[in-house]
Amino acid sequence: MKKSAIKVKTGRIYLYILPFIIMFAVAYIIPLCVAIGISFTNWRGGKNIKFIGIDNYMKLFQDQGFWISFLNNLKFMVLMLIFQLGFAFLFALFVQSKRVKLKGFHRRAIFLPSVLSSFVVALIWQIVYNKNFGLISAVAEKIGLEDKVPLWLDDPKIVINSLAIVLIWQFVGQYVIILMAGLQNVDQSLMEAAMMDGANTFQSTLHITLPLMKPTLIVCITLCISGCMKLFDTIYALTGGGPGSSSMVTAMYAYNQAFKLKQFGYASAVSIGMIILSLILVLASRKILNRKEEV
Amino acid sequence: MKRRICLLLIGIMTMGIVLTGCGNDKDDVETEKKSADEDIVITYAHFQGEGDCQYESIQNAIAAYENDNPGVTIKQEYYPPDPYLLQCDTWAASDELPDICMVNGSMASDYADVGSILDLTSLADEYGITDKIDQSYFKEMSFKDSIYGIPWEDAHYAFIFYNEGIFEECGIESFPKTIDELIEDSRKISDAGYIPMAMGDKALWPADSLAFSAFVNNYVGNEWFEHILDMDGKAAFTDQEFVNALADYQKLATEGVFNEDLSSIDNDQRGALYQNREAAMISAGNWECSSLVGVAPEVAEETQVALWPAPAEGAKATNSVVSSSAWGLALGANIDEDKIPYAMDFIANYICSNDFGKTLTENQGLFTPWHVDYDASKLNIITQREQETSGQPDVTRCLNWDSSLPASVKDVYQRGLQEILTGVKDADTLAQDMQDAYEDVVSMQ
Repeated sequence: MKKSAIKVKTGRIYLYILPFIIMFAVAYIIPLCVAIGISFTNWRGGKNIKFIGIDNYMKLFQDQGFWISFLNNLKFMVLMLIFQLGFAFLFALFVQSKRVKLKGFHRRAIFLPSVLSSFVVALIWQIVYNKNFGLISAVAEKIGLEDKVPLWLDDPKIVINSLAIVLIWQFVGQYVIILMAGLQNVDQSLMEAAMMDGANTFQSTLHITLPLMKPTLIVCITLCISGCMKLFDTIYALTGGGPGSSSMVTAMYAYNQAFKLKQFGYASAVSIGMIILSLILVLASRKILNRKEEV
Repeated sequence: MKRRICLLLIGIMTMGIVLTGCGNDKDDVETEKKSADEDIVITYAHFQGEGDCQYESIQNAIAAYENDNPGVTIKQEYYPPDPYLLQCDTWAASDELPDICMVNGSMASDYADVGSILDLTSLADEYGITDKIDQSYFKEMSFKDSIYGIPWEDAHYAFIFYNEGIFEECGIESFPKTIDELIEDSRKISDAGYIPMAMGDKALWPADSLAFSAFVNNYVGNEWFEHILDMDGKAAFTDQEFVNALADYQKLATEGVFNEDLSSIDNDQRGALYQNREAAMISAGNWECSSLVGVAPEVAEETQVALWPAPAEGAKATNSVVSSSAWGLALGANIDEDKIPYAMDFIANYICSNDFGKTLTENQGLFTPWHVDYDASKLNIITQREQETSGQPDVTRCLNWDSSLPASVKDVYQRGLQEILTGVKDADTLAQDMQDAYEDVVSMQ
């Protein structure tokens, strides 16, 4: 009797969510299928379209520009995993700490950049980084260090680090919120017991809080990896992938192939390549983290 | 029970929204059909909004056309410049370009290649446009010897505005004649605390269109570039004269002629550096003459116009300046057969007209590729100086590489120019990269 009641409920729920499934299919599934289809053609827009098998994917394997862009994504990923999640964890601990006052203000202040449009973020940081009237240059000038200020967005050697600072600032708030939720689930009695056994704050954080936060950290790492593979708007607005191709990332590379070179077939192959690489990275990270858990 | 009712209501509302959305589309189609029965509507996409230098001329032309042709409406679809390019590319890809749209040289060839715009060769003859406009202006708007765009500009660019006052302050008596002299004078300007030449290449085209297109022509000459465009195998990007041009362009950056932050500031920001008297020179286009006079009249008073110096040895041309049709009008491939005469009449007799050109030239200092009777005394002082400089008999007019090169070569070239200016690549590597991209294009022809 109970079993049949659940069946009816499930069916109705599917009916109720059908409109959303349709919308999801129209917005995501169908375009993805279309992109897969186009990736096997030489379509350059207009009426002419020809099936060319896996030629685009063969080209993708040998395309240095794509792999350099992917390498840049990986550089961002390493910086984000270390610094964005690191700072987010520290901020989360800070905001959760009993000694900190005005917790609501701190939470909002840290989360604020996450709600700003990427183009607003880019505008703010253009002003911060600008060599002539930038905030950093102005401060450096006051203390007589104007010659030491680097060309944040014009030096190919440091441009990825400069952009990573912006991205860390922009998105750290999201991870702080997730990690704070995870911290709230850590049983405080364990911390208190550790303190009574003589552990200091650092030791109890390292040996109790971090292991108990592992499921939350796995979620953050997964989100961070997939986020780094989707990087586009902030970088596009700040450097356009430059100087030259020094800060080019795969999403921007696909965009350029489509809208600058009009190679829509190849751009679709690049996008599908991006999805596959993202999946590999996410699955690999989960496998590594879960294996450690099993050990 | 309440929960079920709520869920049901949400479901119905969502379905309603979806169906309403579909219903609106249908209604729109019916409305369009209805209006098409009653009136002839020609859609015209452009990026010349209020404040743009061509705005007044175009609006006058549309008003005059609609007045002379009751029942015919030019429906304008305006987008700001950058979104316009993206919108146009999207339309072209989906074969939905409006009846009339603005195209530059590379858009014309790209869209012609995929069949998104009409071949206008015979229509241009039939409506007398080819009699009004010299054949050379159609080159950038052509694809495989057919005309796909009607040029409406005679734009000059890649010449230099220099501040005579700053030059005098730095002890420079005349504009340098060679690249070496330019570097030498730039040191003096830099020592005096000014940026020698401001450049804003964030969008990638300025280092090419506003400077290198003319700079390189002094090294390689028009004939070499014609061979490149004709793909006849008589010229290659690895030719020594071209490599020398790239190497000297890089030298300008390493010797401090340009501002260090050239890849992160845009063209407007570089203009502001000149207007604020922080920079002694900019390489510019003729559409900037009137804005300089309007925004910084004191600086405009001190401004003189010069052309890019040539190398001390081995120059294949002197005093090169880009002369480009820049933008033109094309007809979307899906335009109704019966609308074509109206659209061509509008282009031939209202755009390519004396009234259009007179307003543009007298009010904005811009020129058209057809003859226009205008009052030269109404030109602003900078346009007059530019006309005087570019009109000298020893001037070599050259094409704009931005609108002439195939898209894949252009991408390597424009990014590559930024790479050599910021020291990522050397001249030989970029020349080889361009040649590789070029050979790929040649092999596909």
